[in-house]
This record gives sequence, C-alpha cells and structure tokens, in this order.
Amino acid sequence: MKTIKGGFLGLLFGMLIFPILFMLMLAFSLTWRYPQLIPESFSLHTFLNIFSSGSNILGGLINSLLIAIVVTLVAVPLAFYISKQVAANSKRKYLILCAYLPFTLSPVIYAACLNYYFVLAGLNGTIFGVILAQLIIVFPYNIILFITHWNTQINSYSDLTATLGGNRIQTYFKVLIPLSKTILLIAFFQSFLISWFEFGLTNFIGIGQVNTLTIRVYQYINEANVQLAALSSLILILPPLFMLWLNKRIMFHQI
Amino acid sequence: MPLFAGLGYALLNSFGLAGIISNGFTLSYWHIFFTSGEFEKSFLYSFILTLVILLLSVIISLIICISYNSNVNTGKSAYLFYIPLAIPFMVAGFLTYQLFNPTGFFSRVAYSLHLTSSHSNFPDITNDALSIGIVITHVFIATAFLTILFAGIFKNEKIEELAILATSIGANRREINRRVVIPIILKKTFPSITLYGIFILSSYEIPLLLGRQTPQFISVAIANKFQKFNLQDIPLAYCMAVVYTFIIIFILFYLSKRNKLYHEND
Repeated sequence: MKTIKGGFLGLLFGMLIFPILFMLMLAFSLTWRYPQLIPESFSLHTFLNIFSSGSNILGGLINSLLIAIVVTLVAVPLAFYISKQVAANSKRKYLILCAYLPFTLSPVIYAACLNYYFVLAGLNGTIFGVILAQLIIVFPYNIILFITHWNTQINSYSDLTATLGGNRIQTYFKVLIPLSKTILLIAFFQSFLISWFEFGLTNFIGIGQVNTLTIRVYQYINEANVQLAALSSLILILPPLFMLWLNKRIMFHQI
Repeated sequence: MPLFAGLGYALLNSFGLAGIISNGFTLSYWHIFFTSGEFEKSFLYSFILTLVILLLSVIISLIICISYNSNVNTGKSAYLFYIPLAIPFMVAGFLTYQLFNPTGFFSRVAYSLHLTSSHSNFPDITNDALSIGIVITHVFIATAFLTILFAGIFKNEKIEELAILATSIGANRREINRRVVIPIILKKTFPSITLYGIFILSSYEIPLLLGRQTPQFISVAIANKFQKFNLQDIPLAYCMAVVYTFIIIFILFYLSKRNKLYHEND
C-alpha cells in the first residue's frame, strides 16, 4: 500500500514539474518532427534572438514589466488606504460586493463594456489606457485582500496613536504600514501577477498595439511559431514562480 | 463606478440608444437575443463545463489532501503544488495543445508504444466536441489551487486532532473522512470554491485556444461578437454582456446575503 502511495506521489510530482521541462524542450528545439519523442536537434538560436535589436519578446517583456510595476505601485497603496475607510463604513457589505464585481466578471467582457469610454478619451491602443484598465481590476482585488486585515486589534493601535498625539501620516508610516508588512508584500506579489498574466483586457483595450508578453505568446501561437511561443511562455512563467516561492516563504514565516 | 458606467453604456447600446448604428429606441436586438438562443447555449455549455471542472478538481484535491497532507503543507515538495499557479491561462492552453494535439507529445508516446499507427488515430482532445482539452487544463490548475486551499484548512481547523478524537471513539478511517474531514473542508471552502467557479465560467484564454466553434464558451462568444466586422452584432454582444453581468451580480448578491463573501472582523 505504501509503495502504491509513494508511486502515486512520485507521479503527481512528475506531473507538476513536467510542464516546465516540456516547455524548455520546445523552446530550445530546432527540429522536432512527428513521431520523434524528443527533438532531433537543439539550438540556442531562438534564445539568442531575444537580445537582438527590435526583438518582439524583449519589447513585450519591457512593456509587461512596466505595466505590472506601475499597476502594482498605484493599486496597492491606494487600496491599502481606501480599504481602511471601507472597513470603517457602515455600508461596507455593499461596498465589498461592488469590489468583487470587476474581477469576478470576465475581464474581456468588462473591457468590451468599458471600451467606449477608452475610445472617447483616446486611451485605447496606449500603454496608459492598458494600465488604467488593469487598475480597474487590480484595485478592487486589493480592497478585498486588505478588508479582513482591518480588525479590532489593528484599529486599536491606530486609535492609540491618535490618542498619543500622532497625526495621520505618522499613524500610517510608523504604525499601520510596519504592522501590515506581510499583507502588503502579498498584495504587491499578487497584484504584479494579475497584471503580468492579463491577456483579454489588455488585448481589447490595447487593440493589439500594446505589445505585452501574453499578447506575444498569443501572436506566436497564431503564427504557429512554437519555439518563440514556448520561449515567451517560459519568460512569462519565471517571475511568477520566483514570486510564488517568495510569497510562500513569507506566509510560512507568518504562520 | 466604472462597472456601472460600462453597464449603462451596454444597456443603452442594446436598446439602440448609443453606438455607431443607433437609430433611436428599439427592442429588436433584445428580440434577436431571446429568439436566437445563442446566449443560452453558450451559457449552458460554459456552466456545465464549469461544474464538471469543479467536481473533478474538488474530488482530486480532496484525495490528494487526505492522502498526502504532510507533503502538501510542509517540506520542499509543498512548493511543487505552486507550479501550476505560476502558469498563465494562455500558456496553460498552449501547453495542453502541444501535449494533446494529434501530432503532440502524447500522440508521439502512443505511436512509440504502438498504440496508434499514425497521428490520425490519436483521439481529438483539443478543440474537440466534448471539450476535454478545456477540462484537462482547468482541472490541472484548479486542483493545485484547491489542494493548497484544502491543506490550509486541514492545518488551521486542526482536522488531524479531530480525526484522532474520532478514532478514539471508534470511528474508522472511512467514517472519519466522510463525517469529519470532507464536511469541514467543504463547508469552510464553499465561498472560495464558488468564486473559483465564477472565474472558470468567466475564463477566456483556455477556451479561446482549446474550445470548439459552436457553442463557444460564454466569454469567447461575447468577445467574438464584439470583434466581428458585422456592426449589427455589436448591440447583440452588449445584450449578452448585460445579461451575463446581471447573472454574476445575482450570484455575488446571493453569496453576500448568505454571508459567504465577507466575514465581519472581530
């Protein structure tokens, strides 16, 4: 029984690691014709092409990084502040319900409904438009994330600071932010990941002109360029893997 | 607020009061919407697939969590369960296609094991009638998510101790799982499972890459209508978007009413 259980666990771990290994094989294969089980030849050609001038992958990587960093840096602090006000509001139940809506709706349907306003403001097809559109999803997500953080204990610390003569800025920077370090880090990671993974909304608002990594992957898939699609996918997976590892370490330390 | 602004515009467009082809108030788009049955077919198809994916993922995750709890919660192997969560839906769809298409990896394995004589003998799993590709991809990611979620509950709710207590009063392993472990885990994670179900229902990238032509997953069906060259399709797409949005609002409102979305802090 123990051997079967151990074997099944090994199979499970194999299944979890296999996608990364398979993607590596695809990205570095030069020729891989049916029915060969492994590529007939490998090459670094596709990988080296990333660094060539005018590389679409490098451009996509820079855009994805820029969008994800800006979205994270704007959404997290703003949601941290606003969520405290929401938590203290008597109508918080309805406000929280409203916060759930944007990210539970399909981003692509949401983008379609909002597209008119982006066209009107001349924002569609621009990086700023995509950042704004992603903020509309990432900001409410952070409100949900922070809302349970504002419990009686943390509010008491905030009140105590005010009683002892601290102003609002001192309360935030000397008490609330240090007390909320863990949840803030988790919020930064998760906001970055939502933006980093985003495709539907970026494609709709960016009308194909804002070249992010997910858009590149889709274009390479459509062009049947398997090697470049796999390489872009690998680049897309690496930062989330690192962040999830870091996120988990932080959560373990918290526990 | 942006959501309600978007919903407002969508409603105006669906009644012919806004948009490029607006000619004043009309119910004709809504008439087409109700008579074509396109939305119902897409929604029902997406809903059934979502239920199948959730059911399979919950069962597999429960089995993993109950059998390998210590491996999921602690040790280096615990990190492995996070790998599927680091894979974007777009990449997951691409991977499934590369693994399961008729000339993909598993077709090659089947050929080398002499199970098939050519790629045409390999069963259609991508863009197939039964949407097996979509189910496999979503189950792979959802199982990882739910396993981590269930393992967290297992630890936080001290289920191990409860199981020992149940053993001491004469319950066997099967009874403990059926009457203690599974009910506690499912009750505690019901809101997260429901929300995850809504995410699957709303998913776009995986059905876009692996789905069939008709009926399409609801997000794909609506997005395709928006992106078609036929301008008459746009108000119809807005009709579909409005109804879909109201369905999601209704589900969230129901969960909120039952206090399943948000718990007051102590």
